[in-house]
Amino acid sequence: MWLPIFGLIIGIILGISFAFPLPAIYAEYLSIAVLAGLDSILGGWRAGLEGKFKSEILLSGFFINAAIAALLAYLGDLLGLDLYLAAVIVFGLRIFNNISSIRRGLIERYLHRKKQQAIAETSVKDQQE
Amino acid sequence: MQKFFKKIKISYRQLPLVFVFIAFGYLLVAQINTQSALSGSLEAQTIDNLSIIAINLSQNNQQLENELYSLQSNLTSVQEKVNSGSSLATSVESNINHLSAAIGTKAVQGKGISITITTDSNLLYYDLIDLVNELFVTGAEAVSINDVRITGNTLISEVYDIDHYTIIINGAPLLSPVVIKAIGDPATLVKGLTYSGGIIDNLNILYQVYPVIKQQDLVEIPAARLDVFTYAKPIVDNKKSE
Repeated sequence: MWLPIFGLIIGIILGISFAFPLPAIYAEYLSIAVLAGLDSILGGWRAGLEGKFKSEILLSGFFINAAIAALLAYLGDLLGLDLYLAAVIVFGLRIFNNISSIRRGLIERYLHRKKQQAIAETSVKDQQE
Repeated sequence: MQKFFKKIKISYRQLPLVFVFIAFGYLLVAQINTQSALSGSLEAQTIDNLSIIAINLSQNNQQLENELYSLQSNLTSVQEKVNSGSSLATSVESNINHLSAAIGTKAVQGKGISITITTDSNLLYYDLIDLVNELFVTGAEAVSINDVRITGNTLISEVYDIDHYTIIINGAPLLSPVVIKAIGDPATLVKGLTYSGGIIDNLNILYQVYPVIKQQDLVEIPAARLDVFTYAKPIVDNKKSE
């Protein structure tokens, strides 16, 4: 668990120390890429809770989703369509879905653990009696 | 390497995760930086803020224009002063030139006449004085005798030896032929000398001196030597300077 946080801190430090001035017109594309990245990470977490986590899928999903989201927003600008908004809505929905799944997974895990503890305690009491 | 990872409880499977998080952190900071830079830009300002900025800018602009105007008027007045100063200098210079020509400290040239008197004549020093006076009276502006400029301080005198008579000009003997040059209206100058009963007539008839007079388009008269005034000081006209 501590390893991703460590990676995030390193990334933040890199971003602060090697800040690159991004032209204003690309800010929109970067924001959608960040949103896509967040979605991929939450999806990975969810998959981990569900026991289906594969690092290759996270790695490819993170970069390809971010790139395609930015590209889609750019394409929307070229065509005069607000594909940016479509991407925001889709990723927003997916992020909320992922978060609710994670929440459910975490709670279920917690409850399951508590249940097992209770069972273990009762079995210990039975043995003592 | 594998041992190192095992020691710190990291499997190869977790490395992509770290990589993804590094990239995500970097992108996140970049986006936050960009957004905070954008929020400070004019596009992100509200209409109220923009109108305040516009009012401030126009006030600043007005102030700067006023300043520019006053500086330009300053510049104009300074230039006028410089111009008047330079015109004063020019007029002073032309005055000095005029005065120099008048007192003979500058060489001059112009239309005039030359009077040549050959060696074998009974020319006396006061004949020369008469000639020079007559030339000045008839409007000569500059006169020289054998290239000695005649000024207020020119001395024309004579020296007698046992059997020799020499005319002296400014302390130097006058050698023949004597050439007198004068700048002025040639016709007037000639008339002033040659009217009947005039100075040339007298020289011809009474003393057998026969000067040859020529009208010339260009007469050059050299500068006189500059006298140093030790005792004489100009009187300053205080009323004028006030």
